[in-house]
Amino acid sequence: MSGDEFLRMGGWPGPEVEAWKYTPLEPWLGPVERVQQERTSTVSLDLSCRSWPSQGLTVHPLTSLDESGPDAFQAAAQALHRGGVSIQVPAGYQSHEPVDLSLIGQVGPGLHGINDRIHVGAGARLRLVQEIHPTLDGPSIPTAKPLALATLLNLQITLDEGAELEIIRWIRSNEATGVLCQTQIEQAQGSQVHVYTLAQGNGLIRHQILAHQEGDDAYTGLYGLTWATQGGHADQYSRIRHHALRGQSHQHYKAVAAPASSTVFNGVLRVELDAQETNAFQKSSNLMLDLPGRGLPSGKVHAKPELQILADNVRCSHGATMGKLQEDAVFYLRSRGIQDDEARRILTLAFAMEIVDKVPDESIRSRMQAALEAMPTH
Amino acid sequence: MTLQKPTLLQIRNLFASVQNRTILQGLNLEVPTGEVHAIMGPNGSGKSTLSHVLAGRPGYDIQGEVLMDGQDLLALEPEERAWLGVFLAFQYPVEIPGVSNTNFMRSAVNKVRSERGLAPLEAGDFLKHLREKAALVQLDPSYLSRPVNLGFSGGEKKRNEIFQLAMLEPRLAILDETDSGLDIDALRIVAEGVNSLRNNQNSFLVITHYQRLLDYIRPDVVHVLMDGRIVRSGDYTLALELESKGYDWLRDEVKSNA
Repeated sequence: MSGDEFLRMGGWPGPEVEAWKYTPLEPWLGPVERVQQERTSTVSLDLSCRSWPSQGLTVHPLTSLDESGPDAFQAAAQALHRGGVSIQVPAGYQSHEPVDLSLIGQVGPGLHGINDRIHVGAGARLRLVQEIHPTLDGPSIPTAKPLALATLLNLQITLDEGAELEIIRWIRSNEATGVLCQTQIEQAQGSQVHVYTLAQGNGLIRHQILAHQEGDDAYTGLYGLTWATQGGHADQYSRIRHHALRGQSHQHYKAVAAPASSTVFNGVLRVELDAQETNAFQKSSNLMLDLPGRGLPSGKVHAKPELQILADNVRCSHGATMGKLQEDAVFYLRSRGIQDDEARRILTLAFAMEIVDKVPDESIRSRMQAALEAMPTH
Repeated sequence: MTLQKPTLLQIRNLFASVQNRTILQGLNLEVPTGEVHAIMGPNGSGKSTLSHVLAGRPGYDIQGEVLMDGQDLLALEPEERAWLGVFLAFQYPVEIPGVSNTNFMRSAVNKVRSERGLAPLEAGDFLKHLREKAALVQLDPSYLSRPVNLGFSGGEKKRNEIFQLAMLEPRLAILDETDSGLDIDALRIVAEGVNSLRNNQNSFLVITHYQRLLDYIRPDVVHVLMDGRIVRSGDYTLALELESKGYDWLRDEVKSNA
């Protein structure tokens, strides 16, 4: 089935689909027919900020897509294909220089797909950096739906035996723009993937990780901070499927929801019957901000952990917390002379920085910190 | 001839209630500059409420008057009181994940200094100050880079309170049951820290259940708080009397006088 056939038959996933329960796409992206209308768009994306080590990798533009998208998202991204690369990382490869698949800058209105593939050979180690911050080239109407600009990034990754991949991803959405980013990872024996994500903004963000541990002793580590500001909606979806022995996964996602914004954590952890001795941990921590005196509704948080455990000899744990800033802590800081708004800023940043502190690249980490310090918290 | 010491804190007819329960019921208290006053009292007498009301914790309905240096303290926000020189050493210090002790103190000290018309401390001076004050309460320097109070033992939390007190150099320091949860050694260290900070420019309000703390921090005046009011004031021997006889005799006396 080709991408557009799929879309014609199925349309965008709606709220009846668990994975999209809190982010039905039609209101944001418009009727699915828009994909048909825009698939032949002549808008080109400026991908010149992308880079990779000049030696050792095989990189091709991705022109022929198989169009056998197994889900609506991939089908749409492929139908709207505007560019992308296929990267082959040879076995044993190591480099200090990352692969950078960023998308920054002005983009013409419309729906655009970027499709990339990365194959990491046995024992190779790679770091992937992605700053995704497309802004609308043209007049923006802040509250208008469907969005004038939405970018669908579809990344498919294969990790061979013992391969190790780090992904550092920073997504920013502005009003009237949407970033939808799906990463599908197939993991062979002993492979490791570590994903660090900061997603922030007042537009639409859907960040989706689908990891499949096919080989024994694989590791999947997902860390993310989502910070939605007024008018924004940011949805973090993960699905880790343990399908082999002794797999490990560790997830911690945090979300900050400013007034009149909403965040989602939707995390599926599936442990198949034969995935014995799996060790999986999932945690979702959520903070709703109040900005007194603005007359705005409090931020809204949806957290939906979903554990499907079929094997009997496994260790799986999960937890979700949500709440507002602890007034005891605010008072403690104020009693030391720190003003109320500054106390709230310090506490909110402390909540957020726990995740950003894990980002293994100092330069990106400090830029992320600076960006968070500039976020409105009071 | 001795000169009358100027009054630092004056509390007149203070009432405080929370959720329709009146806890302070017309409390009067005067603390001159440079003195240490102890407040003792049985459970539920209002000791902690008094400390919270003075520091400005939200959530109380308050009537009456509290003046510090003649300024209406009750009209000020908690941070404004800190700028003026009020410091509360918490009975239950709050854990603040993600904020290091050092950064917390840098924010607090520099804000307080700027409000008091002083320039912020240079980085080197600040760190020197930090280490000196930590040494004062024998707080291991490793605790300075740890998140505020997170995973600290009870004794370490109390030391951290006195450390903050030393950093902020308040004019009125309120110690809310700082002795609770301390072993004898920690109590001595905390008390020595407090004693070294005493001078003729600042005052201490030491709230405690037990006379033991007052063996180490010798008060100028001991007040007994009962049912939300100061019912008796005296010198240190009053604390000894309470330790040996308990509070009931005093309750009976107060009743018969009323």
